[in-house]
Amino acid sequence: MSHLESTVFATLRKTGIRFYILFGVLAALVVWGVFAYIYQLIEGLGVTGLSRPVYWGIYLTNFVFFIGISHAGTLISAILRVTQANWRRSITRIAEAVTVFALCVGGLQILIDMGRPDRILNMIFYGRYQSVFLWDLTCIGIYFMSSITYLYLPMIPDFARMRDKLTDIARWRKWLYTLAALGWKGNHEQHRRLEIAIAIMAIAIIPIAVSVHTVVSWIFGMTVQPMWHSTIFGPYFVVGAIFSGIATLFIAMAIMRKVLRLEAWLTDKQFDYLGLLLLVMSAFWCYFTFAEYLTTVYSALTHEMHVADAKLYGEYAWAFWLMVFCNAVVPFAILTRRAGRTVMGTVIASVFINIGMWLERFTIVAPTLTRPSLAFEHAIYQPSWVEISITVGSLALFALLFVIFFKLFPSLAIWEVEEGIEIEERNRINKQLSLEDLRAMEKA
Amino acid sequence: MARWTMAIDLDKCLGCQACTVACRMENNTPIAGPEQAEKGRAILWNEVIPFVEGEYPNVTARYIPRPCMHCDDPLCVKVCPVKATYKNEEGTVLVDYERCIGCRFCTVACPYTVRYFNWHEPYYPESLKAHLNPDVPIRPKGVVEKCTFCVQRLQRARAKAEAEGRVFLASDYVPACVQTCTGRARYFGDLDDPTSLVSQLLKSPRAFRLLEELGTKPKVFYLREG
Amino acid sequence: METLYWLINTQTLGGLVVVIVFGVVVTLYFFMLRWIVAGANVADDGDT
Repeated sequence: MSHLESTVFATLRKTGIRFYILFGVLAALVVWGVFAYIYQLIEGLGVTGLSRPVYWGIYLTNFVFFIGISHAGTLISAILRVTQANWRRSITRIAEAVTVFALCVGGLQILIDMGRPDRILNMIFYGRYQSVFLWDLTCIGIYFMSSITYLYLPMIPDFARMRDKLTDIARWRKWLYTLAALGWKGNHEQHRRLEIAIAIMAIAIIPIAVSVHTVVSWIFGMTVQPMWHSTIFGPYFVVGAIFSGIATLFIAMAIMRKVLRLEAWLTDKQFDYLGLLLLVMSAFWCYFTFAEYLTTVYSALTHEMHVADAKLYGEYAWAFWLMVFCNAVVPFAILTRRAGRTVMGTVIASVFINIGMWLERFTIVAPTLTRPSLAFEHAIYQPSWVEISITVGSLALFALLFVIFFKLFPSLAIWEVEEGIEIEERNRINKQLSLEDLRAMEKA
Repeated sequence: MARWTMAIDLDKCLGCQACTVACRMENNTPIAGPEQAEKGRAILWNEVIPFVEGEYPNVTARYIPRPCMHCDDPLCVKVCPVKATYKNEEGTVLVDYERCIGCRFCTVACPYTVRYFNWHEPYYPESLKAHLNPDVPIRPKGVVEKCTFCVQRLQRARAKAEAEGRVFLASDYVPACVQTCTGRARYFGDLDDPTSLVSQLLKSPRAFRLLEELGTKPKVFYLREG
Repeated sequence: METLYWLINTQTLGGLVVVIVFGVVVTLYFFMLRWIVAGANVADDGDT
């Protein structure tokens, strides 16, 4: 058994006390969130800090945030696959898992935000396509199914390997792996077909992912509310999504690298290259933000200025400027230097970026609603303990799903990483051979 | 088919809020209580909004009574995912309380913020319970509601005309706020009838609509002060 | 124009679109998986 295989299988074989502690803490937070939700279900949305006209608050913020995070994965993994970046091999599994779980938690936020969750199926029974919510349902649904498939496909050979080699595990797990391996034999033809399927999925998922965050932004863009009604929102949201997605991927990678001892495969190279990508996304984000705010403030339409004032100098100024600090200042300060693009550096930047991107979503959702066009007294919005509990519970749920998943399934695409090592080996030998040829020629 | 329209003469409006109270009694809007009202959760289908401009001693206060605008191009209808809010054939925008999923997309899309949400189970003090209007359904927790131009009065007026064996006239139908208005500032009628009072008033140079530039084409219009 | 508005404004039609799209996608992915599984029964060419 290779070093790679034994390292990856180690966590699947043995479960230490640390796992149970982590599991317990996360589960407790989730239970607390569920408790808060049940309370809200019984009492009504009056237990939140929402009011008229601030009808949407941090549930919608969370929705946009989690759907944004989901872009980490699949999109990054797809782009890297399509461009045949060899260093992607050890991070695609983690990235794809981030996507699937972020989508689960993101979708849940809409259910949590609904006044009548018992009538959710009305969206199908009475669905009318002019509503942006139907577009969201379509795109997020397709994205969810595609991400699961895209996560699953490269796992099939790994399932077969676990089926064959992990003999000392519980019976239900053996049964699970056997079932999920779909009778994988790993012959040449099957490998060829798998590679084709993965290649098709990688290409198809890019437009799907872009469509998802575009229609999410259109929930706001299609209204006439000041500072929501903006044509830039589609691309702005997509860029922000990829930005926060990569940041989340960094945090997940760093933790798994340490806990599961994957240092040999999640190397400085991955952190360096992805760090550059993160920096590029930060630059994009800065550009979009600057363009959006300058256009608003320069033309200074009355209703838009009420909102812009609230964000730039008013009661949301703390959130706005903290967002600028987190999304622009910190990434540029850390990631522009090679010495900053280490595991530590990228993780620090990523934590700031995730906070910053959550604030970005918040400063888009809330301030506009506190300043309706038909000017009456400005409203204030203060999230209640219920909303905060559910938010914390949602974050914990995201982490919990992640932890459970990687307790049961390998953290790297073993066969893909092996293939990558082979390719590198071959390249090295080829290079050596050609060098020897050269020398031989020189001698002759 | 009629197209029901309301005109409000701001010269005649006293800001007495009798319309707000009449609307509440007619339409069974639940009582929020002072604490919830403070949070901005009072449900007042017909709110009188004060606009105070300037600083002492040069202050002007104006009042704009604000029912639902019953737009011809309603943004709330556009965004509703389940067609719980819809424009009926007479141009009135209504809500199906049995279908609404409480997503509040309509409430954030409406630029006039005329739509209200039931944050809690509706509450009525004992003294009020005996006086609830049997023609208007009580809205459950978690759905959106708003001014209906007292559509139940239209139905009743039609039924009454039919029972009496006569033709239904536009003047048979009057919403509660119009009927109550102390200063007789409100007019109601059929916009499709060029001879109706509202059609005549709309030609006045004083006539204007709220946020006209948004292109929602409200069917509530105002007559400017002055 | 009228027909277009009818299409997007009619209740249930939107739900139907969602159901059909989901159905097509799931079916596609199902057949893709079956195609991969079936690859196990194809004899390898000599060149591997």
